[in-house]
Amino acid sequence: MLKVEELRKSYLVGKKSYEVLKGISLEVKKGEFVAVMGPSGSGKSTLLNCISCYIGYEAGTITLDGHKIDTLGQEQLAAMRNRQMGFVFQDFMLLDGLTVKNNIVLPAVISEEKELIEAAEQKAKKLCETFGISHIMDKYPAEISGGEKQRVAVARALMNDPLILLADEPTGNLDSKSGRSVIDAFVMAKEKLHTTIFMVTHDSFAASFSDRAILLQDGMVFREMENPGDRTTFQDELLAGIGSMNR
Amino acid sequence: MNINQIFYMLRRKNIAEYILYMICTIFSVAVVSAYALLLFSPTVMEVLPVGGDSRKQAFGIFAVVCIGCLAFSMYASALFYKKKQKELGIILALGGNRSKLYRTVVKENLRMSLLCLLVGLLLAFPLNKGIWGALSLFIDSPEMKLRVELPSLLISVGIAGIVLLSTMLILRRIIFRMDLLDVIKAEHKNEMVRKLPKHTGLYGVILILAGGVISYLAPGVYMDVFSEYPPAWLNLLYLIPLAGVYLTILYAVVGGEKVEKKHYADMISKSIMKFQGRQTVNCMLVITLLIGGGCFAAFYVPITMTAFGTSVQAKEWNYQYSYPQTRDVFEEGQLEELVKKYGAQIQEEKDFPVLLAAKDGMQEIEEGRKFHYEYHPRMATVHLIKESDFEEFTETKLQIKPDEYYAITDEEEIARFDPDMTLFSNMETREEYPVKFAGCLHHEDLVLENSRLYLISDALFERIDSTLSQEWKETLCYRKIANDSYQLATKVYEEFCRCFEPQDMVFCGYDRVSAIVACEAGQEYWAAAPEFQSFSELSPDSPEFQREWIYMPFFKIMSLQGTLRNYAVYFMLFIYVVIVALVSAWLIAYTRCVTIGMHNRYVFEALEKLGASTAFRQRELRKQLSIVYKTPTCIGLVVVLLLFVLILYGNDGGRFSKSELLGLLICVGIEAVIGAITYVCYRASVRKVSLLSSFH
Ligand SMILES: Nc1ncnc2c1ncn2[C@@H]1O[C@H](COP(=O)(O)OP(=O)(O)OP(=O)(O)O)[C@@H](O)[C@H]1O
Ligand SMILES: [Mg+2]
Repeated sequence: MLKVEELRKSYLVGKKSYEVLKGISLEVKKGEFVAVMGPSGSGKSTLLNCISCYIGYEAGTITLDGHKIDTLGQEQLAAMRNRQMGFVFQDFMLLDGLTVKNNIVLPAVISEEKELIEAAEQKAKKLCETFGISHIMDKYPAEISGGEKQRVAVARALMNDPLILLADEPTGNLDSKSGRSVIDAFVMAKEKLHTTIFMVTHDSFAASFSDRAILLQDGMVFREMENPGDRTTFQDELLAGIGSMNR
Repeated sequence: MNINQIFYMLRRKNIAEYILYMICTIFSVAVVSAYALLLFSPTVMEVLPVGGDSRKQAFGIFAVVCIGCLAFSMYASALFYKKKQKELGIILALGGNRSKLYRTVVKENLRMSLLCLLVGLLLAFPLNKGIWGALSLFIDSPEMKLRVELPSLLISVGIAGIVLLSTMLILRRIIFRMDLLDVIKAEHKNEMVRKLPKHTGLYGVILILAGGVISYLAPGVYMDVFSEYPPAWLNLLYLIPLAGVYLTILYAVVGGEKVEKKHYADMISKSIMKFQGRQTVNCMLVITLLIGGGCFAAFYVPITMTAFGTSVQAKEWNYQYSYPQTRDVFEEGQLEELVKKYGAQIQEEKDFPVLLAAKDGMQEIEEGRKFHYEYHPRMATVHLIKESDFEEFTETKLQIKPDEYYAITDEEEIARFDPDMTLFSNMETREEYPVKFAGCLHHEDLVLENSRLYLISDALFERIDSTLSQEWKETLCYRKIANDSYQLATKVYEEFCRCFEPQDMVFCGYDRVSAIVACEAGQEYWAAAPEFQSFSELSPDSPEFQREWIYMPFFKIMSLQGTLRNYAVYFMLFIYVVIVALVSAWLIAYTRCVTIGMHNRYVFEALEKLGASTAFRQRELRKQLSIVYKTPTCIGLVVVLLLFVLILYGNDGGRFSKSELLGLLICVGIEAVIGAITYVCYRASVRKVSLLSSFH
């Protein structure tokens, strides 16, 4: 589904260039829930931004569903973001002027595809039911809690049935209870809608719900860990894995 | 559902911002349109002579108004779309197509702009009528009917077009250049200002004062030193005081390195400001310039009005005129008959002869930009009257030596006179009479509009008179007429003009002596150039003719009406600038405050969580917002007042006349009013921001 090969990315600060991603390769299979973990500054967000095409990179390839994404033009990129990727951001990024329902419908509206728009209303209702936010459909973002906002964002990300859901610290701005509700939404999406999820997180608790965790250190893949089937064991393993990094 | 419906919903939710934006645009369009209607109306155009300084000035002001409104609208739309930037960014991040989004937003803006243009244009008419009507209450004369020229409105359409274009550019930049990374990044982006050296504020004030004086004096000094007209780049010196204003504001916003103890008191407000310093400073600079500009325009009217009104009022003889002795002005009893017909009476009358001779002096010779002075024994015309006439007229006694002359000026010596003459010449016989300056005498009625009278002894007067033909003699007439009326004055004027020949219809800049001297030297006389010839074709009723005709009589009642009308027009032209500049300044300050309040909501929330009392938070807030208002207002008001003090002091050789002091006093009053309104705006901003930050 998603394949990253030998990805390299450096930032220019003043005249010096810092290599942040030093040849990263990874793969995410269809329907898989992958978490990316690592210390602060290890390049997690940079990796995600490369995959989302928010930033360019020097070397390597990223393929999504067999298509290389770096060959796409502006318009095609936009269309791909709209149709094949779903985004969940750390600080929600909901439009304050739209109701929850309309926020969820927005990706369909942006797509300008007749079928998508016609089905949007129904779809939004269903997503809201799935994520337990039906009761706030007509409220505005200012009137709901952080956890609810992020679940609205998840619903919005899934509006156009994307190939993959990309999330950067989705629980970063939330307390543990709200964070849990958002993680539940991710799990629900994976189980009921067979969504492929690629999530960057600091939080080993959140990561322990994933099928597989990729640990990054200094711009390289440090280790990959499979979920052994038991959540608490996996969380312990993750904590140990992170602890074993030399930092 | 489609994107337009999404925009509709966003509009509905953010209606307040849309309305504010539209009000700003409507305001600009209405002001420019009303000004254009006013300026290009025939009523106003007649008052402003073609090619004259006042017309240039008025157009200059109009240009300033246009630029001001343009800048204001552009600022408003930049601000508006800056607020919408996040919305647009989210749509793009969700995979919106940039060109499609751009088209949608431009379409939305186009509809709004057209609506604003229409409303603004319609509003211009009542606005125009209102101000004109208010003036008509004070001045009532047939010439005061306001006529309008509709094509002038095209200018506002043009302005709206430019604003639309600039908005499109702004949108292009926002939508096509937006870095999605900035949108999804959580941090706030602010430009921090460096810490400033200790005395920055002081340096700023010194730069303002010193720079102001230097740039004001520089052209004069340049001319003295290089004997050359100052080049345009000398105006760049005005950047010095501007830099001073910038430093002062910067200091006010960020503060210098202070003593630690004091620093804690301002810690919160200063640190907030530091992170929004750059934008706030730029904004305050604009506010300072706007307030200064508004004051400048506001002062113009009282300063000129007090200077002029008093000199007309001071004259006792309400009818004064002069004419060449080769013309028959008013046949026997003609004036008496006219006066009687209008129910008025001549109470007193005095006529006396005036001799026209040549005076010597330093003549300015131009060569391109360069100029130098050369002595010329016959430089210009001088008007001479004799001692005994003066004594009879003023009932005083004088002792003038045959080689002396006195200059006649007003009580405050505002009317310029020449104390450096050493030689009078008879232009016909070229006989020369050495003289020297003995002093000046004060008499309001003997100060003529277009020439200066000099007093010589009877002996010298007879010597010149006996060898001079009528060509070089004039008669000066004074009448006191009781029960005077405007109708009588216009009738007398009409009859007066009829007594002249076409060749007499020359403008007051034309000097007979200079013309002859230039002709003899085989040079062109500048005032004989074709562009001045058209003066003789003007109708005697046109304001331009009346202002500049060499034999223009003084009829007090007409003069008062005329000045009043002229000043009404000036008043109108300037009041617009005042309104535009000040309202823009206040709106910009207000929006800036709201922006600061919104950006720093989290600071106040944090303070609240830390247990700060409402009073404490209010105090911090007021401290912050007052900077935005206080500094620009103080600088603007003080600098412009100082500038006027400097100008009024310098314009007549380093002193203040009574009327100038009165004018300055009025200016201080105006400043007080501006200050008061600014304070009201400040209170309003505090209230608004308190509401935003949910203080209770
Ligand atoms: N725009 C940029 N310019 C220069 N350097 C950058 C930029 N963005 C990130 N970096 C640097 O790249 C490195 C990796 O940043 P990145 O944001 O990917 O880390 P991260 O793993 O997401 O950290 P965190 O967990 O704190 O979010 C950091 O050292 C950071 O300082
Ligand atoms: Mg990160």
